[in-house]
Amino acid sequence: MGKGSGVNEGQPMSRPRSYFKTLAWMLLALVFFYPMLWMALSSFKSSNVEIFGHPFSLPHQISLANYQKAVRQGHLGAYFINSLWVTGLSAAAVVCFGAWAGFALSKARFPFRKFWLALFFIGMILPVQSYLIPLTGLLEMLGVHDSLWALILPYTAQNLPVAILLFTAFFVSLPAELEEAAKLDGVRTARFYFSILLPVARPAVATIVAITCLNTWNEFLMAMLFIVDPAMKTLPVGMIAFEQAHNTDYPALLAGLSLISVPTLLVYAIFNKQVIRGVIAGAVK
Amino acid sequence: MARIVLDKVSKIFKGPKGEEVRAVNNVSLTIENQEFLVLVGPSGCGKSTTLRMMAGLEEVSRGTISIDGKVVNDVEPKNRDVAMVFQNYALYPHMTVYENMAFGLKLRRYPRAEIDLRVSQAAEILGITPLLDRLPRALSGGQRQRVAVGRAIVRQPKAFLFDEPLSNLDAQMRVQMRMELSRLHQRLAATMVYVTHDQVEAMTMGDRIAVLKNGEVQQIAGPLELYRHPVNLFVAGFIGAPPMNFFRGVLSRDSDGLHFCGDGAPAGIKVKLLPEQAAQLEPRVDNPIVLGLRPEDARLATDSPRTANGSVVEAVVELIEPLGAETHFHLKTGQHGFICRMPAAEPGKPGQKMFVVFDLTKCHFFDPTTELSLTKPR
Ligand SMILES: Nc1ncnc2c1ncn2[C@@H]1O[C@H](COP(=O)(O)OP(=O)(O)OP(=O)(O)O)[C@@H](O)[C@H]1O
Ligand SMILES: [Mg+2]
Repeated sequence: MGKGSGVNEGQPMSRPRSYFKTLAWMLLALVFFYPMLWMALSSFKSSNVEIFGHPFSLPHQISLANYQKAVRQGHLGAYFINSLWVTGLSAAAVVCFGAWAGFALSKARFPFRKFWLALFFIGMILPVQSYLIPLTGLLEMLGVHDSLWALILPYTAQNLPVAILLFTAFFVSLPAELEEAAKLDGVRTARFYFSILLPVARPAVATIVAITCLNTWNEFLMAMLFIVDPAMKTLPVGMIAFEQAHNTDYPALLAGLSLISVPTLLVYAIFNKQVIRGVIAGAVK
Repeated sequence: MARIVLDKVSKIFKGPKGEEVRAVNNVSLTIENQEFLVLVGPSGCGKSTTLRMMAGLEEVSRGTISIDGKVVNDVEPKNRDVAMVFQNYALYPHMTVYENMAFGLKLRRYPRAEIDLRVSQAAEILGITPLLDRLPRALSGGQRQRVAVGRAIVRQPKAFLFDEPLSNLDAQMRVQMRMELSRLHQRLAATMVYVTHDQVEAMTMGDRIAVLKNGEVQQIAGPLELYRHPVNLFVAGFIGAPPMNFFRGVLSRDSDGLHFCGDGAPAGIKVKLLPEQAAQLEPRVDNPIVLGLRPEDARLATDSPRTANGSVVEAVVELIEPLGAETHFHLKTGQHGFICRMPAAEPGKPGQKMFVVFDLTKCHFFDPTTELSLTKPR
């Protein structure tokens, strides 16, 4: 963020305009940053009164009591493991199947190619609410109700369309000669896929991993509806424990939320560059 | 080493509306062992398609392709033992230069030491030894092209196929790589087929040149033979820069023999044919004909030269292009525009009237309808 934004580097920009641009970026950054700041700040405060009485004051004393409470009472440890499984497996599956389907859609010739692409596209624009009820039935039919699979399967399905479209676009943008050179080198299809296409598609893989992780890690609606067993809950749902009709423990809740968002921020920090490159690579060609 | 034979090869693509696109039509071609054959022609004439059929990247619709006497129509690319170098290099972007070159050998399960040896030898030949650990994206265009060639060399294939390998390079680099590839051909003594639309590349590199147009071979010959004795209007106009001058006209008989009279007489061109030309063209008297003359086969003079008998044409200078070593005069006589290539020091200015002496022994005659050459090579 901030200065430069990289895109306009080639052209000299007049001073006032560049200051204005920087200012605008900083304001935007603030808009996104301030709720997180508030959350982190409040998570150290000792009571609801302190949080809502003086929303922007510094905490009286820095104490980790809220965090201990969140981890213990909120079973954060167990939920963390659950979330990790759900997110990890979903992301892996999405990359696996997404790249696979993208490979087929971009390189192979088969009937109704366009139709399949359109079908995946529809999957991308359908709102969750429209298929929640049939999905419940389906999960019950599959016998995975109230297990982590009840989340992994829908999450995978939900994130696949974007992955498929991105991988298809990425593979289409690669020159056909790459495959032909490989053919002359003696590469078979599977080998080509694993030792050339996937490594080359690293930016796309990173993008999909990051997007899927963020989506699934924070998913709330399905996690709440499909999981009843307390042992199977994921982090966002687990946080509800602190929310009671008249007596919500905000310091503990915000401490929990702060903890939950750490991995998200980490993922973003790690994949930041690659995600941007991947999105651009998919977009430009 | 290999001898590649194309026997009446055709390639028919299905167009978007199901119609047939004949990219290559009935091409018969023999590439001798250790020969450097250039396929040249305008864009879309089927050069790449022909080459890709040899590589096995494109199926043959009709006819047969054989390598060393064995028909390879149904042989997979990797089993044909040919290497191809692409216009856009097609290096594996995530592999280093070394890995790019070694990849094909690894797949063929060569021992490690052998791979090392071959890669380092190829790198040595191409002068890319210091680059072996780099990724392709950290290379210049010329370096990438060398790596692409290196990837082909290490396999020691029966034949090399090049598809416009130099067209993404700048002019200087192209000249240098041209020489390097020619030297490589001598050094490896390998069979090479080289596709280009650049006739300078074709002339300088090829042992023989096959000129293609609309998927059909027009002429196959050595560079000089092609230049001196083009079989038709297309080849005559395609090979040579600036191109051959063409004059449309008729063959007419006078009291003193056969003449070529340019269209748009009387202001036009009238030249007297040499006796052996007259003998050859006798049956075509009073028929339309095209006279072809290379820019260097006409001489300019400011005074009417007395010596030349019946081959002098008056013309007006329209444009002068000094190139340093030579000067191109763009001239006009009646409706005929043509170019004359003269030594650098030639005086003259636009608008000036000049006399042009045609070197009649170098004239070509073509039938305007069949476009075939009417003069037999002597
Ligand atoms: N896959 C294809 N489907 C349909 N038509 C094709 C296909 N590939 C090539 N053609 C057509 O075949 C003809 C010959 O193409 P080719 O690529 O061999 O030309 P070229 O001589 O290599 O031209 P250039 O110098 O532009 O590379 C063209 O008219 C082209 O449109
Ligand atoms: Mg081509």
